[in-house]
Amino acid sequence: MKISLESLDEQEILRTMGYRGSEIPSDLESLIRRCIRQTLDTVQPRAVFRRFPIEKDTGGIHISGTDLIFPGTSIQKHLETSDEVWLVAITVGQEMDKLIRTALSEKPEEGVILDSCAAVAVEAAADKVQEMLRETVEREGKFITSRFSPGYGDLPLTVQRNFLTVLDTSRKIGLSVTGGYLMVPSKSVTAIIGISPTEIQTSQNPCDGCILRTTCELRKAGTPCWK
Amino acid sequence: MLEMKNKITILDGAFGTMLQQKGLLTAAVPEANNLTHPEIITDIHREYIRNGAEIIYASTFGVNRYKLEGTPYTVSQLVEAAVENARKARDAENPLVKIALDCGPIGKMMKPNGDMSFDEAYRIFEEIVTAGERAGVDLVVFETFTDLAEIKAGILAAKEHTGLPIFASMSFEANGRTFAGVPVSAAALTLSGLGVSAVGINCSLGPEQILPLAAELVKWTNLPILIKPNAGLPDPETDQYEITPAEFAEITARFADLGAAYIGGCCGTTPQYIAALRDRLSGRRPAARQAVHRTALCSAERTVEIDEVRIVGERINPTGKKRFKAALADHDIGYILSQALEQTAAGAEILDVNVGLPGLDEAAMMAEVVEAIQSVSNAPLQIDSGDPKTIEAALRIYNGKALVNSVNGEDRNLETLLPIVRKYGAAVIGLTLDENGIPQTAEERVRIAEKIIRKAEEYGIPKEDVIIDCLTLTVSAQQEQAMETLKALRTVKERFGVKTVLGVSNISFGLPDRETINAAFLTLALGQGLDLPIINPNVRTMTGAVDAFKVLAGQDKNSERFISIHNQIQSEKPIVPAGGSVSPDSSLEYAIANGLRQIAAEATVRLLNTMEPAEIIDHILIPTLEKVGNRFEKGEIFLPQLIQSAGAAQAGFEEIRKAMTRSSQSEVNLSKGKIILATVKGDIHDIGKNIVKVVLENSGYQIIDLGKDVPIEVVRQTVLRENAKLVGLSALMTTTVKNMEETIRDLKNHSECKIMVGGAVLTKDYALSIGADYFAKDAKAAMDIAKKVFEE
Repeated sequence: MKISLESLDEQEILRTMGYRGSEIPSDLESLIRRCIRQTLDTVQPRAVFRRFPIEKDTGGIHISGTDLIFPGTSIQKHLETSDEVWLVAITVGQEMDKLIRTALSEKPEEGVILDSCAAVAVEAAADKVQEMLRETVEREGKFITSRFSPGYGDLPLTVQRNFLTVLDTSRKIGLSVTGGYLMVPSKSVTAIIGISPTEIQTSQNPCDGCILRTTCELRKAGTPCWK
Repeated sequence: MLEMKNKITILDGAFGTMLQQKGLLTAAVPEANNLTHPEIITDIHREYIRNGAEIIYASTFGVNRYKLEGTPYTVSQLVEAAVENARKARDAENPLVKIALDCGPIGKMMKPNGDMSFDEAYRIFEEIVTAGERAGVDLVVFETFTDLAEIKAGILAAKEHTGLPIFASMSFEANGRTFAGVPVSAAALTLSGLGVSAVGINCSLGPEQILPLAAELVKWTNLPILIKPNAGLPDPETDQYEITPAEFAEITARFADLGAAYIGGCCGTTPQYIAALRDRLSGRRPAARQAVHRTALCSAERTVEIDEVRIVGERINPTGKKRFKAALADHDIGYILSQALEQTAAGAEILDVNVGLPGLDEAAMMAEVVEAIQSVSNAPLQIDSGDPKTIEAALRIYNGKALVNSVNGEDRNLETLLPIVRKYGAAVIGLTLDENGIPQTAEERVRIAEKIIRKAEEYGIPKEDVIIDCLTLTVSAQQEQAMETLKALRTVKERFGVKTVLGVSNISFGLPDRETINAAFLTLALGQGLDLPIINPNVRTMTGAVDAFKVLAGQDKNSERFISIHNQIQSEKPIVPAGGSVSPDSSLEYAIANGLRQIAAEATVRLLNTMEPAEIIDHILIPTLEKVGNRFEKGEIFLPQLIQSAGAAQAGFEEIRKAMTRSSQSEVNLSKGKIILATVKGDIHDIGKNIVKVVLENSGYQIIDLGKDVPIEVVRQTVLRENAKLVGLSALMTTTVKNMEETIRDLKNHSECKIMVGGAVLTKDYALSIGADYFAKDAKAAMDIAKKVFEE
């Protein structure tokens, strides 16, 4: 399905570019605004999601009716109270990748800004989908977990290919994976969202599951990306 | 073969939907049902035939080497079983039914977006189509494609390895473009040119949404049209399709009014839908269609019709350009791309590409440059070469419909090149010269034009795809020829109704103030009906002449385009830094610190009057950029500002290079050292590497950028060949860091070079543990490392 985005969070865009509160010259600020508009004109956010019961055993989380298995302790913990999941895939599309590539050759600073805008756009689209799924699930008196993506914690990126096959993303939203398990288009998100009959403890710090935990500048600065 | 019947042919409906109904879609490879449940597959085909399908698609949509990885099945095994199941259905129901090999996208993205090369895709398709032909299908259908290059690879594989008729069908979104951004017009032009038997639209949308797209499709092709819509749009939560068989048939029947010859259903349609369709369409003829005679070129994303004057940019050409020759010799693709983008920004709509340089493998270089330009630009390209191998190498991987520059009236030339032009569906420029040289009279040139047009027609190239060049001669040498050229141009247009092209700049060779002559000749030629002026679009008097002509000739309605472009030009003033407290003649230091390109260029030009290039570089450019780097490190400025400053330094460097080229000093001695950069094998995220490149390049180093997804041996070979002291590698993901480690190991075994690495998931400790000498956490760190390595 299509997701519409009306705006992008400028602070978020600055943050992804490593901004640490210095003064921004006015022409740079207007360039950033122009890039935001161009991004909103170019992205075509699309999502596909499906709901599955899950089975748990020592091998990992089994997605019922498929041969998809999520191994590792991180996802076990994430889905501790869940008995179902939404598998979600979101992309802002190939045309955005080309725009970024072109800008990087022509005016590199614009390429960098557009890249950040696109990263923020796909997260914003993912937030929208998650919100929609939360509403659906809440009507049933249930709760959802946060998004957990392949590559987080000890869930290997190699599950990505089968994940996308199960959702038929190549045909439905034009999303596929490379031999190195990178998603194409590059500004895409896959996530597992648990559905739990009981309320989920949210005291867990999302940084704990992140592979960038030890090096992340944002975390060191006390402004992690999820805050 | 398929005989063209003067009635609509009914195609079958969805296969996946039927498998789903029977609970058989859960298998990882749905096509394995051909082996595990052959009777059910045959029954589905039989149902479709009983309900009216005249061509059935064997259940082979997802059968390819990539999707079968890790399964016990082979391509030929599943294709054979699928075709056998279809054949049983046909034999049982109706021997007149045709069986199609159904070929879907591979499921992996092509370069430059993904990591699949054209050749890899081609080989995957070759395996499928040869298996299909062996199994005895009547035709091959490529359907549901969204990437034009991928379906082209499939069509070429089918044409070169089988004798099967080919149907080619793509899937579009409601905005009229595929996921890859391909508009209907570009799909139609490209696929029709490749010599398929039908082109079409399937899947993704319901009949209602496809109707306007089909109406667009018939405007761009003369081939039979094929349509297979979904049963409306699916509900995102239940995945159920929305419209009933009766509704489907009612709307889908309207495709017959547009002249569609082959009609069926895609996702969500069942035999009931096909029965309803048959009841509506049985015995009907497709409506007569208007013949299409449009001259148009396209890239994958943009169609440029030659229905008004279109500027062809001439700058991608080494002739007489030292800087461009150096870029070709050094493999500096970045420079060539900047030339492409500069021209389109200045108003060029088509780009001429010439990479002929003695001692260089022209075909390989042409293919590389074409691919690189297409990865960043949407402009259709004009392949400029006289070498058949080079032309074919370019046309093969070109994404869209290209223009070949050129053939001439010589028999041997036409007989060699026209078959290549025809095979790849390109348009072609015909030069009005032959074995006797350039005729001195207009009438002689017109005669050669006629010969070229005739000969092209013999080879199946319609005259709308032939563009005639009546040849610009140098007016200082042959003054009377200027008017002969214009006379020939006018006659060719009037007599044959073809489009015309002229390389304009040649007119003024040997005269002072060339632009004045060029602009005047351009205006005269436009007045005689020139369609494609090949010019330098960066010269404002030239684009201005075209803009003005479009107003005067009524091509620019209400002068809208002229007003918007030329209002802007008038209001452009010299850039003054924000705040206005500093005068425009500010220093190079200030310009770099504040990322002001124009001012940096101007300041450098002034400094060159009093300082040596090396002095400017060592005492101003590099130290200032270092200071900027320090401010970045402290968080006083952030990434876009660092890059802007590097861009300003680059503008300074460019001025220095220009000055040195003029005084023919070698520029090698300016470089502080050679650095090779690469994003490792398997990794296609190269933004970090590109940022490092911009910054290092403008800190005085010569950068050899190998791009992304770079094989280990290419890195090694380049390091050894260039004797580079420093290599920078980047990798984004944990999965590709492995390849980084292997690349490092290989380099360490073969060379003494120092290696710095960077990437989001790396840490210093980890970088050192995999054998790197340095970890560059950002572009500034890379500057520091380079300085250290080269000062040691």
